[in-house]
Amino acid sequence: MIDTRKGFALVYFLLISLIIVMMTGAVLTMGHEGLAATRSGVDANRALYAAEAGMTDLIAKLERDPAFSGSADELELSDKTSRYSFEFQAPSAATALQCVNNLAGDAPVDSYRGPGTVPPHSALLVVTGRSGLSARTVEALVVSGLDVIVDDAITATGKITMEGDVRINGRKSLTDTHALEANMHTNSRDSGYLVTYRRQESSDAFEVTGQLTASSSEPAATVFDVAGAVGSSKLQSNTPQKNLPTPNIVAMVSDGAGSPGPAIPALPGEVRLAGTNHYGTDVTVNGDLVLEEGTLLLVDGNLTVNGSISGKGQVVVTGNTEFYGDAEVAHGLDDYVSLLSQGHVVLKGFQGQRYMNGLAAANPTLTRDTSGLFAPFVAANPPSSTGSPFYPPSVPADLAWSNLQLSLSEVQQIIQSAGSPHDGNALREYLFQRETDLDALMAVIANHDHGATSIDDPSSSERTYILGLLGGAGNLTLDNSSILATYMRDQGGGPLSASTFLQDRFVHLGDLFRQGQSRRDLSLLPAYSGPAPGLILASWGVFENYGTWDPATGGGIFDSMQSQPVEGTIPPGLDAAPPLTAEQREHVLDIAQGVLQFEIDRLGAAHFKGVVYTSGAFVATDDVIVRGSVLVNGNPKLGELVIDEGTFQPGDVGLFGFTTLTYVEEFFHDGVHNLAGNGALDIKRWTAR
Amino acid sequence: MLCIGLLAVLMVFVFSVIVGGLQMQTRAESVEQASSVAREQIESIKARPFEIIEGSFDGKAGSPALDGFPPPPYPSVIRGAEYFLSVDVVAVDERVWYCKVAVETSDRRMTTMETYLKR
Repeated sequence: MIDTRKGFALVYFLLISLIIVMMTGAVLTMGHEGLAATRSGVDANRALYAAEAGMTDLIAKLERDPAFSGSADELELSDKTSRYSFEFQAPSAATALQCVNNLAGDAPVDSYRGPGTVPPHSALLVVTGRSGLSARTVEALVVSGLDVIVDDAITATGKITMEGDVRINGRKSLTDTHALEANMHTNSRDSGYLVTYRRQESSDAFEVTGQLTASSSEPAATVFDVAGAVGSSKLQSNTPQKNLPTPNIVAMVSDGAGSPGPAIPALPGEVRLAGTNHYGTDVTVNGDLVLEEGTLLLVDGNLTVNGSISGKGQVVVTGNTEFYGDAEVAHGLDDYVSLLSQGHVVLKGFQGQRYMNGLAAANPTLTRDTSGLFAPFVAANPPSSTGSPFYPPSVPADLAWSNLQLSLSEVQQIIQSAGSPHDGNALREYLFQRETDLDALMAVIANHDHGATSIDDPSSSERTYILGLLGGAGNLTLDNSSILATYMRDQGGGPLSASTFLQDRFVHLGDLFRQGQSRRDLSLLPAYSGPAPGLILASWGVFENYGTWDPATGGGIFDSMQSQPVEGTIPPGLDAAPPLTAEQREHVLDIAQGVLQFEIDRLGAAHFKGVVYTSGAFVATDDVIVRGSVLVNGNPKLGELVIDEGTFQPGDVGLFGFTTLTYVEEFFHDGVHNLAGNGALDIKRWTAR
Repeated sequence: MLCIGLLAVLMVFVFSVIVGGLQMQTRAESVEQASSVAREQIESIKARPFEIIEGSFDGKAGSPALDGFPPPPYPSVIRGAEYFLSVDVVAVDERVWYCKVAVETSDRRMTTMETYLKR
């Protein structure tokens, strides 16, 4: 009998072997796949960091040269673990892997995302990183300058201390004064009070149109100490920290090292700069600093301006910056300064508002000048020439002051009632229709007597209108800016005194509102190109020559702008102004916004128009108005700021006196434009695909 | 007997393969962990707005952090095993830093990540 069990061992062996081999194979496969997955994950991370490295490289290239349109093809990083690529393409032809540069553009352009998806002064950047077989792509939308946080008049990282009469507000644009909610925020999460407000005088007020917010997780009651000056609904703690820019100020200054600026005179006087100006040491300017359009002032050290900074440009300082607000209110939407200071920033006023409040309270009698600076006015319009009683030899200070404020406020209301804040043509037409009222108002503000002015006529509508506004004939005083300027001049204050500042301010108001053909020096009439020059046409010529208008020598710019009818609406006896060009329509808006920038109840405050960035502390003191935005991103490495108002740490904000911070949204659409091309790009959107 | 002998040989081979496979998985997990640590290090450096300091910092050799740089997880972190970090920061120009982060255990180098940082 055959033993059929023989050979079973072999079968079992083979079966068991098969199972074991299969298990072994599975384990091996799992091990390999696990390792491969890990390698793939590591490569993906390396590819992502390579893409970010490429993006950093590309942004740095664009900061140095905003017109850069080069490419990188599989550029390896030092350790050769990964590489990156990018290239530019024309907007209409760009694919999802190509960059579009619109940094120099004033209008949106296309990208792979669709028509008009790259805003003006922006670039869409796409960089692909690779490592092994992995590839990652990152995309960023960058804007010129700083991407300012919308709605924040102030964003800080430290404590905010306020004393006096403080206002935080906002507006859409300088010509559209409709209120915009403006906030003040601190990223600080320190314990204790982070935002404090104290009155200096019982009449002081604290106004915030938006909210006061802080990132501290503590209850609002322990974060905000505002003496009940604003309602609790405006106070909010535990809000997310806001992303603040960190511009590379050292690199921006270093970029301009090859363009040294002219020597700054030690003697007092205005300093005008154009182009790129680099200074390798501390700079002190004893007088006003005026930046021509597009000026770049780079200071590798501290900057002290014993005067104001104004014009159209940027100031970049590696140290501390100290300057005064301006007496003149800059015209022009783009007429603002961007100040980037690595150290502390102190912006001073002249206590002009307190000075005027004190003057009105003391109420001395002011005398109208008939010589010196105002002699030409008097010569042109002698008080007795028309028998006008409205140029009395002496005027109570409070009456001159209140008439000036009231009339200026009324002019502003007329401009705003036009309802066409962005249409220069319609605005000018409307102002012409209101010319009778405006003439009366301008006569109260400045030297605007038409000789036998109709204000003198008891039956004139101008007289009825202005007496209604001022409260009767006993209150009517004319040319109050000259009266007040005379008083300030006679105080004999020094260059940085409140009286000298206020004299400049009142002369500036006179320059705006005196008669179109009237000027400080009557021999300097601007040329007029029209067919029939005459008194009125000469007045129009002031506006026609707006580009070269000099307030010291030109006629009254506001009157010149609004007092001529255009063709088709010409009353009998008047010449027509030519139809406005597109540029002139812009000029109309410029002049209107120049008038609207005055805050009636703080005409004594000094102005600064622009954006301030500092990695130190920011302090505004002694009556200052800032139109723009303030970003305070404190670097703890910097030392503290010790001044009369107190001790401030990097990131802190101090506002003292009559201070207004007005966020102007229009300044900051798509970045801070006047930083374009000068070494600062900010990331507006970042996507990893 | 022959079968048993063959089976024994096979089992030895199989066990060695399994052990190798498990080691491979352990290694993969370690590399993944090291990669995660490297990423954390780079992200924590990127999160600092100021105070990036140029230089070489070797956590395994005991190089101390200067004024808090490099930030944690430097110099090391324990996640099953101890992972040591080394951080190299070199200025490329006024705008760009090159940053390399390497991670190793007590006995072997695990991974390296490199990128540029905007100054």
